[in-house]
Amino acid sequence: MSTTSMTDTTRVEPPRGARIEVSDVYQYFASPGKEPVLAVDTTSLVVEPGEFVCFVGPSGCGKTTVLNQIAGLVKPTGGTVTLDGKTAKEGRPDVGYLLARDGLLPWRTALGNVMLPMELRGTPRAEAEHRATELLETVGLGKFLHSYPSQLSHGMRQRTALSRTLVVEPTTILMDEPFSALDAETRLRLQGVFLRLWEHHRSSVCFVTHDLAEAIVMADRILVFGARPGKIIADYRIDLERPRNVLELQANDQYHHYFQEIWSVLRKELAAA
Amino acid sequence: MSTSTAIPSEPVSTPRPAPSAPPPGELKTKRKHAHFRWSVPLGWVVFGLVLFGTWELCAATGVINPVYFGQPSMIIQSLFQNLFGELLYVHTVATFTGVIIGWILASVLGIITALALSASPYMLKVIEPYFTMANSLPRVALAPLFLLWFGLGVEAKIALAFSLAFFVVFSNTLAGVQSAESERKLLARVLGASKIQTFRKFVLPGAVPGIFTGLELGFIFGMLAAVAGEMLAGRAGLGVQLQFYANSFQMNEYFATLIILVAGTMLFSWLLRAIRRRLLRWQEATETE
Repeated sequence: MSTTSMTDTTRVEPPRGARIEVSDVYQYFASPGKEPVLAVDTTSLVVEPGEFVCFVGPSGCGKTTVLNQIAGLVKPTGGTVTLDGKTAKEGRPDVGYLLARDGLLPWRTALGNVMLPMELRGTPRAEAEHRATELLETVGLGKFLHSYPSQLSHGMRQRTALSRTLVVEPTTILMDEPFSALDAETRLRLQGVFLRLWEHHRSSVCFVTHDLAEAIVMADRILVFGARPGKIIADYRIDLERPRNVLELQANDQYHHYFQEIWSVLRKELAAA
Repeated sequence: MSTSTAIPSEPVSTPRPAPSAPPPGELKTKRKHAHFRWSVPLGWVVFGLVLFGTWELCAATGVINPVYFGQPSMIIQSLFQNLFGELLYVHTVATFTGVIIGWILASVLGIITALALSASPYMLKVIEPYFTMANSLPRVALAPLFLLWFGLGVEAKIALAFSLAFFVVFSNTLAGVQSAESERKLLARVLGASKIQTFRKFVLPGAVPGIFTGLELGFIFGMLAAVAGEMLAGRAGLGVQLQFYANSFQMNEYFATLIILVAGTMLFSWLLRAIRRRLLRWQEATETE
């Protein structure tokens, strides 16, 4: 946000996201005294720079595992994962990661939590505070900068966590059901907040969700995972115009068309799982 | 509520429509707090009056023998007669000096040891059985030994207070460090925090409540050990006085000494809690909700 000009938010600007390449990965998980389980079967995918990709599928289909491989938290048993040609590694400064649970540090205020990633990287305090404040104001928490997590509602906590993820302007954003713990209204709101920030920012996004409606609203592409062992079974492009309005899309014909088409595939997987 | 005035005396049996329902919780908790503000201190006074009044009355009428049980009015009298003399300037100073020094040493070493060991799961495993053994030992049983080693002065008090307080501080600190949620550690990994940063920013602040619990309990246990040691033998100290008063049937003086012990320990705990409240404002926010 600090480098780009505020006047031009359209797609003309080249996307700043990383190119994510997952090639022929498979993943076994060993559990003591049992046969290793194949969680992800040979899978490949490419996320183009600035692309928003959602992973949907039944639970236990390996979508989170693939996400964690990209995050470098899980080392694939076989195959390679690269971000802009570099092998995935945990704790990369250009990768943001967000879970359903906010993971806020209870002893830090909203502002302190958002400043945390910059603090770890040695960003000067004044700059960190400025950027954190600005972003928290953007997500509607300007009045709650100095509130502790225990004083914030669930939705506000997740906004704070979202700000913590985005404040370092990562080129790759990895999200694992980030809004699944929120009530329906708050979820729609946060989807809107995130979309607005992302459409300005254009990072590459991998977004795991079990909510197909959410996936269609947010994504450029939807990858449907099949269960046991996990594998990508379908790849849909969502050509809805951007910027998107989460609330208006609920009444969009094209949106419902996508929903029915993908749901017919997803339903079979859910039944099988 | 405005609707209730329309139908005054009639109990409403049918469920009310949603809009007229009182805001959940809010009204009730407010009223409860207002209620507590005056009734709890009043309860304290009443309870105390009943307790000590009964005691006073029983002692005065001879239902219980004041030679063995003392008498509240005489205890207060004795307290004020003796307080600003040897009792305060010699014995209280002796006991509290020993306990506080022992407690400080125990706190510093307990916290450092716990933090150092938490970094090495291997060393923790190696040392664990020995700690369990040392912790299972009733430390007061070491009092004769410490008196032999350190003599009748302040050193034995320090050693005894230390021996109890150390393990309390140590185990509470360790529990606090180990309580760091796995989610928090995952966050540290994802954000690329170094080992030192993970410890300083993700683990240690979460251990502070545990450390404070350890410090508070450590002081109380340290006091217990020191006084027990003094009762066995010692040149000066409140425990020494207790033993002397009990042996010479000076029950009022005995109870007056107890009051000093209780007041001193409570004052110290209150001080610690005040510091804790300042440091742990984020926890306070959770509790009041």
